[in-house]
Amino acid sequence: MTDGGLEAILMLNRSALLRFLSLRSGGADPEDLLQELWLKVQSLEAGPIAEPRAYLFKMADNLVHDRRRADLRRNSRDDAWSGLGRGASPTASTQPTPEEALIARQQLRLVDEAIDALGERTALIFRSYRLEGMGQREIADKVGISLSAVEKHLQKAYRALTDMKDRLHADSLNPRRRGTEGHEDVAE
Amino acid sequence: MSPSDDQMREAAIAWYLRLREPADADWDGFMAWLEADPRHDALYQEVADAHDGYGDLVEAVDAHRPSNDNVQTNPRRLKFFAGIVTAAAASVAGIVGYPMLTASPATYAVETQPGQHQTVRLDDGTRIELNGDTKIMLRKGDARFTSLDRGEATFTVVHDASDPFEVHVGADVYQDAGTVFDITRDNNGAVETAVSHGAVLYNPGSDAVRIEAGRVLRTDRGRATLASIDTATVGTWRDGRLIYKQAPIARIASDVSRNLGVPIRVSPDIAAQTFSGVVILGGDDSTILPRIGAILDISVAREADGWHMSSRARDSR
Repeated sequence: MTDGGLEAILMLNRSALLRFLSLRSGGADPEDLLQELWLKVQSLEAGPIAEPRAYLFKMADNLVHDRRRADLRRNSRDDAWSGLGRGASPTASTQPTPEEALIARQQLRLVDEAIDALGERTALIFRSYRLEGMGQREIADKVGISLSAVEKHLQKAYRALTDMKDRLHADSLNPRRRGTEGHEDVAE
Repeated sequence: MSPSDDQMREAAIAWYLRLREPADADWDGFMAWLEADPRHDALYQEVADAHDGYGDLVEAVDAHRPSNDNVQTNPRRLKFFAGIVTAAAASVAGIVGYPMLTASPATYAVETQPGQHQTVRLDDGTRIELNGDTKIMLRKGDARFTSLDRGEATFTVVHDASDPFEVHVGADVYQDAGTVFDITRDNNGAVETAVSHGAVLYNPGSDAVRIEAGRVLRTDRGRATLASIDTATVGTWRDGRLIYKQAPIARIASDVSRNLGVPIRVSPDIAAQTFSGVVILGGDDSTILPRIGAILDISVAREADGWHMSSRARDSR
């Protein structure tokens, strides 16, 4: 039942994908990653895909990301935020311990406060996007604003999110440096 | 952090957000950006990690939420399949039932809006999953009766040979024989019944045609035809996938319209053209319909109140 369409497109874009994998993985083993991508493509259910080239790049991007996350978890079990990471697949998760859940609750409260501080509309748009899984276009239609306005709200929220991650990460490595650097607010 | 670092971080977030929207994804532009500065990749990765990290926090908190939690902290589940979930989320409010005064014994309708999905469980454990723009009738106190007035539903029946489950479609009766089956009734009255497990008896009192698993019965204006169907493709609309073998575009348009809740007009010259393959329904209509156009190799354009499918030749650019 396999139609070789996606594989053929992978072949055609082999050098571009290799370049991409090399850029995204810090030069480590792009050939190896391409093989992994190939296997994933072959195990996909047959069926037409609208933007096959973009689809392959997205798959390649996810592949690098998942691998980095797996490495990160192996190397830093005590980084609270990333230590909670249980893989990209939600079904493969193991239950967090009560202590981990407590830390997660405290951290989530801090993150939520940071998001709420950006204003009601930004917080609503971020949560619709991240928790409800709504697309940016869908949010634009629902809220009645332009797509680029949605992106601006999300840009703000993701900025706060990455800043908060930096800060929590720094805290977990050196608690005495709490809130002293590395998290200037968004100038706005 | 220097201002240029700040700008780089903003660019990283912008790339991350844009690459998650399939319609806006410019992977070549992204590669050029990655090549422009060795720090770009790490910044992009940080955004991806923050995105995932937030999800991990929410999941970790949800996993340990006590069952008698107070209402202040409403549970947040991450949803991973945007388009499908939002369509289904519209229907969580429960069954829209209303009593019908004309029909007896007490019959009531369960109806979905276009784009809305709903699952009904009958007392005997039988499950009826309604696609969008669908209307079924049920009887109070009689879990073995259903009629399909409009649209599409998948029936997962708890079989009882002594009291078979029946679906009435117009004047026809479909009787289960241990069954999972899907019935579609389009706006012109054509009915398609596909069986994935067990068997269904068509008009047991008269025609008594047995539709086995892997078979599909199509009736249209008095003509009935039986054909083979891959059982794995029955009722896949429930996962947001529509699977076709030699299906006319008119049929595909009507299925997509029912699932998304948007009107779709099909030019007569392509209505009978056939397609085999999968149509995946992730996203909203403005992302799905252009995709379907590409898959079916037809032109799809937005109209005032919906969409129009026509032959690609007419808009050769």
